[in-house]
Amino acid sequence: MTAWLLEDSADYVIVGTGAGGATAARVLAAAGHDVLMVEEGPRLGPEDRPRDLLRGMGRAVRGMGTQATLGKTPIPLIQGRLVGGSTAINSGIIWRMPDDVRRQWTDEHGLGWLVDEPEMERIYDVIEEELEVTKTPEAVFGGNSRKMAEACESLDLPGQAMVRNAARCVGSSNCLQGCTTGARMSMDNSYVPRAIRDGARLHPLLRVKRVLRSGGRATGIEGDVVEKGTRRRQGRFRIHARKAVIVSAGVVHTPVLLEASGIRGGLVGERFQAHPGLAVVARFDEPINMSFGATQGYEVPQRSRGFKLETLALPPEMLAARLPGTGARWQARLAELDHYAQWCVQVRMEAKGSIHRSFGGGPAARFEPTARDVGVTQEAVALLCQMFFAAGAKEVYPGVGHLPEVITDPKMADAIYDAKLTRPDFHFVASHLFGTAAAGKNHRLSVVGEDLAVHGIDGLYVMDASVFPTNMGVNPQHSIMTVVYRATERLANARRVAA
Amino acid sequence: MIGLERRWAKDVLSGFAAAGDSDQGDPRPRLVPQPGEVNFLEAYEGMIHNGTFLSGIGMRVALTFAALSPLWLTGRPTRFGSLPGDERAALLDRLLHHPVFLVAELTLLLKLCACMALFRSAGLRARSKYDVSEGDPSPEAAETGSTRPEANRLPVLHEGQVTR
Ligand SMILES: Cc1cc2nc3c(=O)[nH]c(=O)nc-3n(C[C@H](O)[C@H](O)[C@H](O)COP(=O)(O)OP(=O)(O)OC[C@H]3O[C@@H](n4cnc5c(N)ncnc54)[C@H](O)[C@@H]3O)c2cc1C
Ligand code: SF4
Repeated sequence: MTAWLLEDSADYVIVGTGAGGATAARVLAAAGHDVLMVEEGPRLGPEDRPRDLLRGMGRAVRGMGTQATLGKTPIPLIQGRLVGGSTAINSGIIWRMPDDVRRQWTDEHGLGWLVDEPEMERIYDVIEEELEVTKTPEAVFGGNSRKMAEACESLDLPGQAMVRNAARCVGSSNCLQGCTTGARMSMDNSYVPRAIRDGARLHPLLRVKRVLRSGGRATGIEGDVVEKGTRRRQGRFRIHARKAVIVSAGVVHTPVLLEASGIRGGLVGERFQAHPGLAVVARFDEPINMSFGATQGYEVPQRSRGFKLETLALPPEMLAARLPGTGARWQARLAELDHYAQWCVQVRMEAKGSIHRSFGGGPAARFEPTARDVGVTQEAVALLCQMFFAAGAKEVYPGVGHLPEVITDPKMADAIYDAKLTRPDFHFVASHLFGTAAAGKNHRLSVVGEDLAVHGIDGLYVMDASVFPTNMGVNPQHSIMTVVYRATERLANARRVAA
Repeated sequence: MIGLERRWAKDVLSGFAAAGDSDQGDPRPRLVPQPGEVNFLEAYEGMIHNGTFLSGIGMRVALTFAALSPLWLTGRPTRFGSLPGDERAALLDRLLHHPVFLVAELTLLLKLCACMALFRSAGLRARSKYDVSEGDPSPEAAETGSTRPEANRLPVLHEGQVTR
């Protein structure tokens, strides 16, 4: 007989505490339901968020950012593994779902109820109020964002201060390691504690391995209790769900968990989409002081061209790794780390990949950008280089193979548009992930319905970015929270009426 | 981790930031680690421990490529760690620009690992000038009264200031 290190039960058991899971917990707990949140990662307070990347990322980022797609040209897939999920390491950028995406979901995927416009507007307002959403004030732009604003003015580009859920941001430029000032209203700092105040419970450090089922309905979860520092297995746990299991493990792990639970085939793990991106760095004669300012504070939306440009202040470890060269040449660049700015592009790629459970039990992700995706990226990199020169940069480092490592002449930036570049020239990273358990009306073309219930299984829901049938071309967390909020309200009310 | 891997890790990772004799005439200031200031092995072990299983294999493959690069890139059967600093740096530079994507990408992972080690040293980090220092506050820092201001110093914006 199995000796369980932990056994528990609740009406609603939620796997994952990121944008999706925490929002579901917030709504259900506020409605008076008995909720238990289960999270693989630890709960980290400000004192657990060291500034150095080795410890900071080691604790909070899954695989320290090395989880990647398979193939000859892997793309790292960055995700948080801690209470708050990826929201606990993100930059707090808030965008409502663009209307064309909402209409596409309605017309092509039959999700009119889920993304009903007036309801979405109502929920946006609630979330924006609760998460203190505001426009980034110029006082915390820092040199990085200020330079992008200057470039936009000079080139007449539609730049704007970012809207973020960090009204009290003091510009410590530390979002990736976690906001130690508590200014950013990530889920660990907002909906998770709020749900707990409303009676929900939280079990961190539980790695769910399987959803338990009996007679066509989900009855609970089981998996391993893990140790905080080493993440080694301490023993096993089992939790009984009296009403429903909600899987919110994120785009990479939700399909793995479903497949491990015998829910395979159809579109499970398919239609994986993303906004992969890359960064361009430039050196200015004057100090930029990237360590001061909102981590991301200014943006240039270019949705019609398939991309969005953003400022991105990174810790010195990442900036240094991005600077060209080795040895003495590199050390000379390192000696003036206060003179660099870094901007990035997020590309709305048309490519569709897949994430399935591998032989070893972990995720096996496949995603290959198309020729069109590569072309869009090339155009965006060229524009970023032009913008840097417009802002007064002396050297630009595109970081793209078959382009010069260091560009000193604006004409060379113009030439990037026509350069012959191919997929392996670009070093992408992806943090906006979608799909793998897509929602839709047609059972053959989706995994969950418009109420986010898994087709054919009672009491099992998916509530995270994996239900997105498409990507969006804007930062996703607000749309994830809003869609989950809407579906959970229905669940909370339906169950209350039934009771 | 066996002794050879540890030695290779130290030799290779320190190779990114090794001072080369031929560059001594370069007048530009450089960020050079002091002897014993940086623990490269700790960063290597940390990345292997925290990374995925596949990335651990990748790191080890990258390390092997780099440690044996004198042989397979230049045909010299010399130990990587016995080469002068500028030669080690030049070999790593060639690997970073290798036409095979995976070789270049894995070497970049080693460079990131070297950076994790370098900037874990408080002294080296301070010398890099990355962090705005008390003596050299940015205009914004001066405005908020501190180089690392505490939460709540800035007023919360009013609702009307929210734009979407
Ligand atoms: C560095 C970074 C910056 C970003 N910046 C922004 C931004 O500024 N604005 C924006 O809109 N979006 C941003 N994003 C994207 C956004 O954070 C994500 O899209 C969003 O958090 C996804 O929500 P989710 O609920 O699907 O998954 P997540 O938030 O990733 O949550 C999934 C949770 O499930 C847990 N989990 C997984 N498997 C298991 C298991 N087996 N057992 C138990 N728990 C498990 C994970 O540990 C994690 O906590 C960023 C992402 C990253 C990584
Ligand atoms: S920049 Fe600093 S203060 Fe502002 S939200 Fe990010 S971590 Fe918090």
